[in-house]
Amino acid sequence: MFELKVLRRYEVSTKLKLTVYTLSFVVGLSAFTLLEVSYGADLYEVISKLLIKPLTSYSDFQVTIRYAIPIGIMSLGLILPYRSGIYSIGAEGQMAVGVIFAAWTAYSLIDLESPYSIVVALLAGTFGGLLWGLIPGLLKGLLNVNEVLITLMLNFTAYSLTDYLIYGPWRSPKAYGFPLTEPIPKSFMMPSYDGIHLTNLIIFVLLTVVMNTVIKKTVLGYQIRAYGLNPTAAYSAGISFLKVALLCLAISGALAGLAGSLQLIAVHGRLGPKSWSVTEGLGYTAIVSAWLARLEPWAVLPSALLLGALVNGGLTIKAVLGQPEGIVSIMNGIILLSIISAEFFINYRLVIKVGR
Amino acid sequence: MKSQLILALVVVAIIAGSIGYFTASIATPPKVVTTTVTTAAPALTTTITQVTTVTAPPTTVTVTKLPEKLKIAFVYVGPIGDYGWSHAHDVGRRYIESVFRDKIETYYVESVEEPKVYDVLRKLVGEGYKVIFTTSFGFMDGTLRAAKDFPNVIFFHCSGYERWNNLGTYFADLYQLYYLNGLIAGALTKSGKVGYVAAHPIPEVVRHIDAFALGVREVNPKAKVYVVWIHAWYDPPKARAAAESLIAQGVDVLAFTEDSPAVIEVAQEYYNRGIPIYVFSHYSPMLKFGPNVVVSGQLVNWGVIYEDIVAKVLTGVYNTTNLKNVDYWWLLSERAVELGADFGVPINPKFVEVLKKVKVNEKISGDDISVYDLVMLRLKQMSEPRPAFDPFCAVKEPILSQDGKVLVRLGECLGHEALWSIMSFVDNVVGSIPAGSG
Repeated sequence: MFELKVLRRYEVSTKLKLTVYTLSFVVGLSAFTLLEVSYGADLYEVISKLLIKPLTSYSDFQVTIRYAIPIGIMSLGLILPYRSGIYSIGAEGQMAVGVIFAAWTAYSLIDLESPYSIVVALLAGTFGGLLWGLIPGLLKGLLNVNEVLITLMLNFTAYSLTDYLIYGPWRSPKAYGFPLTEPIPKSFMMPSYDGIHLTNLIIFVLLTVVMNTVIKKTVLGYQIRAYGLNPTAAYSAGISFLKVALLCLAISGALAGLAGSLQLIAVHGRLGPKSWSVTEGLGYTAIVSAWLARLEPWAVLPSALLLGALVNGGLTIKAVLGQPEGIVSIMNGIILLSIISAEFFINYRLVIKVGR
Repeated sequence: MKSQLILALVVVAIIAGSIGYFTASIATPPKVVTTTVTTAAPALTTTITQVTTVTAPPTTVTVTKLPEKLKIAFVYVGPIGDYGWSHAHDVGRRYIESVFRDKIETYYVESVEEPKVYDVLRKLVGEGYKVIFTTSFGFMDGTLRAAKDFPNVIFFHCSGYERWNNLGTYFADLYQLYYLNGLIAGALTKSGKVGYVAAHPIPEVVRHIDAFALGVREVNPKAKVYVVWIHAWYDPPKARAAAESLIAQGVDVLAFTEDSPAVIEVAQEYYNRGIPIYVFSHYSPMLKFGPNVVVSGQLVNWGVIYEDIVAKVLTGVYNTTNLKNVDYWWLLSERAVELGADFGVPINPKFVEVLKKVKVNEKISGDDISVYDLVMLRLKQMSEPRPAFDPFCAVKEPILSQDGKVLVRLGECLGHEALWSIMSFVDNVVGSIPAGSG
């Protein structure tokens, strides 16, 4: 007789955490090693290019944080619904709507003087994302509709809206019929310092502090956590579910919208030619980053950096070492899988009984 | 159960083994020179200028200095196995590698997401590439930014319109071939309905549909061209569905813009069931997917453009200061494109006899000739260094657009600029250009 039992651990020591994380890291790395060795690649070169250089070399780091900032800002937002037990995957669409709103302000307020113009564009983008987040918030809060489906479908709706604009009313007459909008006016473009968007970075760090406080120190944070831990108890205690669902999804939408407008005015400068050209699918990466941070706002700083480094390192091993796209995806998968399984082994204990 | 125990043991063994392997591999001293040759990438013959630093006296000795090869990189939007766009560019890359064997080394990066191209270009510049080709329209903004940031590198962008001192553009257009295919389609259709499965509503595709329709009308003035948009460059299931819906409407000849042989496979299936549907291959040689149904098609030869650019870079004609006005728009006369469903087969031999039997009045000379001869005549006229014919020239009557307006006035032609931005259909096309959808 061979029996496997999963038991919950109630007290977790730091020593255990450390051991499990180290072990899972070693196992993950060994799996990746096997893969790379079977592929015939130089392991030392791969690891240094994929994980070490993106975080240590200055010019590489510039690229890393260009991805880490939007990923991080959106993860901070996503932590709220996840903490309350609402599984939103709508950051990508909320980001896209944020892009549209920010672009719309820039096109209609061309004469506005900077730096007001930048602030206005960012606020508009944030508002757009908030609106897109309110839709699932209302549906979830009032009707308890499955938020996973709604947020996912709204991502594609936002893509279609973008397509409508770049193929239709916003298509630039100077683009020879290609689906591109006019460039965002200069006064709306975020300046960069030596290739690093310092303002964006400051916004990200400030938001981390704010979100950490919101979740840990405010009544709202308490109510959110209460719903995540035990919805029945939270409801019995008189906490309004509508309020929690609405606020969680609206705030996470607002942050995604902010990230989108930053992508537009700091990096890409116009919409098109694809519906995802400005958002780059980073709204999905942000989900991973939020869970990687174990839904701790302060931990989003390192987790977003790690995912930014992986995007960047992935480009490097593709562009410089000539390895196929697949290796990059597998590497990402292995890293995440080992961290998530470590979570499991920290919270649960496996009891194996052998014998009759 | 026993099997589970064995499974657990095997898993543990694998993990233990890999841990052991890893510790062994990090214990070995790191190699000094690393040559990474991967299977997916072309074998890199890296020019390594080894600099050995001798520690005792502070002198740096350069050991070997191999002759410098020009390092050229290609950035593709899709995988090279896509059987369409990126594949065709890679054929061109391999061609110039064989032409300039000792003078250049080439490298490619495939499946680059368009918004990330600037970051990839930075890395390629860092690796010492001096000439970089980016081969997707969506790479335009990123390539322009890279050209401004790295003024010592030569960039060439395919299919865009932004140029800079060190950034040129190039394109090989197929409209003449679509026109020739249209002539054949007009002769082959029995129902008078010809179909077109179209990718995205952008000028390139509109221009090709117009050229095709002009060819159809020249042979068969009553025939109409029915257009279905699939809003994708590569989507075999949608292309298949579009082709089937067109056939259901009575269409019996099909042309398409989509990077897979899906439409051809549909035609071949109908043929096998006894319903003859004829089709034109797109971009790559696709004759083998429908030997009984593919009549002709459009082929591209990027190699000749790459050869010309690289030769001029090597001899110093092109440098990092004079590309602002360099724009290749190469057609039949430059041999950048070719008529056929396979290289060297302009018309599938199975259809030659049929096309020789259909007579048509040649509008310039007024003679009655066969459609086969007409296709060959037009092909010859357009292949001359100064083409004696262009489908967008209004010879006998003005060319009208769908809404009845005059697109090309009698005796005039549409030039490069007008063709580059054309966004209206000629009057024998049925269907519209969607304004607000991708």
